[in-house]
Amino acid sequence: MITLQDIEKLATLSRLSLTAAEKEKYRGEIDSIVGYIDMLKKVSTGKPAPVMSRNKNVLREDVNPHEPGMYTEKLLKLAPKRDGQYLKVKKIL
Amino acid sequence: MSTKIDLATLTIEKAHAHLVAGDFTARELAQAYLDEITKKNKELNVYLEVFDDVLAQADRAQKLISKDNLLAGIPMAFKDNMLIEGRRVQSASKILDGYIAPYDATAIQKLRDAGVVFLGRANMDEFAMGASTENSAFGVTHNPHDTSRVAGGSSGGSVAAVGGSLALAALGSDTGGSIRQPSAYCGVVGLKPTYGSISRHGLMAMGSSLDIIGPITKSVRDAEILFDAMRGRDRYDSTSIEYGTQKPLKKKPVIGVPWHFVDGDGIAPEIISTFKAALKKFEKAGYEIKEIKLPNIEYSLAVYYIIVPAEVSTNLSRFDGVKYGLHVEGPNLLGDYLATRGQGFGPEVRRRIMLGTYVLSSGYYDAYYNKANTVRELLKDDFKKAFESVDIIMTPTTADVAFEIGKKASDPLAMYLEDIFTVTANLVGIPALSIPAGTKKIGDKELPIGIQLMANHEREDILFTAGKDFVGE
Repeated sequence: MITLQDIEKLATLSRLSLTAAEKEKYRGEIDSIVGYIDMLKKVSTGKPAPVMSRNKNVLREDVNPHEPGMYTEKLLKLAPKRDGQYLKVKKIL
Repeated sequence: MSTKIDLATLTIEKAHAHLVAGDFTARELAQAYLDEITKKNKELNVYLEVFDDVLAQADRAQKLISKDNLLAGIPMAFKDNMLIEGRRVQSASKILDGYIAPYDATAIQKLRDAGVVFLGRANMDEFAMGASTENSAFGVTHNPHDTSRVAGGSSGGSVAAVGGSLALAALGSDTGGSIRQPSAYCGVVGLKPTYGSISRHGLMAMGSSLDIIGPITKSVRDAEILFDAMRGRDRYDSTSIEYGTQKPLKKKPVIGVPWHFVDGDGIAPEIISTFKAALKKFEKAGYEIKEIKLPNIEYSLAVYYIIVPAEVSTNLSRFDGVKYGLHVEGPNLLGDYLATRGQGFGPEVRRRIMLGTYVLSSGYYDAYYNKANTVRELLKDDFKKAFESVDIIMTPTTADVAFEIGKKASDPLAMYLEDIFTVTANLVGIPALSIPAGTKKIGDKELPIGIQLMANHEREDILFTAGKDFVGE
């Protein structure tokens, strides 16, 4: 059973602000979805298989870098707030 | 222009022949679509934006037209989650308001090089989450066959563009049915290719272990043309594969039908009768039909709705109001995040992010996420075994025809059940093709019904052969 406290905790972990009405709505909806996915508890699978990617060492070799600053302006231009070559955020500490 | 272009029956194949013969120019073809868009887009809400340089693109494409280049001058629509350099793109979400794509997606780059004309970006469910485009921040897309009904989703805009002749073809993305379900609802051909066969580079991530770009077209041959133009290994997507050429089958493909799953609860009688008629047609064409069992298939949807939210909550953590897109001021940095994401994401996206956070949280990780991955492996085994005795697995694409707008909007679980026949191909990674197979008459409207053909990994060739046999191409 999903409680209102569960929803509040999930919203905080997910970095989402919710109104009181939204919290109540999500509580009911997520409760019914969890009720549905709970059917997997019926399947006997034995020991869960570890999730493995078939990919190994997919990063490119650390050679031939592109010219420094080539993409900087293109990407920084998309930021809502910047200060020169920096992204601007509120103080963290 | 010598003759009026008949958009309703036009295909890429036919348009190419006309362009090469000089019956019309790329500009005239593009103009015909722009006229149709002006006439219909307001009612259908297919395009979020029609590009301002369509005719200039067509003029450039004209120079690329040749007998061997099947795609030069072909006007297409693109789902709003694929990056086209210099263009706005936002997955029909407010959180990407003002975002301009800084590069081309690989699939886009390939079509651009071929001379495809980009008409505009098509509506969708926000971040591809939904089955009706009702989750778009820009309003629902209407079904061209009955405007009181949904076009399906999440690639609803792309599909309605093709079904309503507002584009000759379109690209969508498919994570659990987002190309095939709307294709069935709008009476067009939709292909979800083998996982990794088309690069995901430049496609906004939803469920990264399931997402794939695919074509939406008027004919099976057109889907094949687009698939061939886009497939292949890409250095920018580590999960992309080098697509090999397969040995053609020596005899007619064998079709397997999981009746225990097809004839379940809640499947409309017209869907079953259309499906049975389609099987008869295949049989007449010399295909052998076999009953098969897929023991774990009933768990597909539950597996899907654990894995997808888990991947969604991870993928969408990048939208923080700092690097790009919407920024809403809060009292402090945490407040900025909460406000930006709380206001920028719509209800379904927030629901899936929270659900994903839940199934990944330490107390539930084994019970849900790990369990889902284990059952996903069992599903893969089921299909592997099935493909030892059959070449194609056939099911309906959807449980019923397109539903009325608003009918399922307040019940997320009912909306999730829309994907019952389609999610498995994504979980297993195999290709699946939806083709029109019949209609259901409601009032004076003929609503399309689709059938779904699935084949083993990298066996799109079998789907194309069978699809063409079925529709008589």
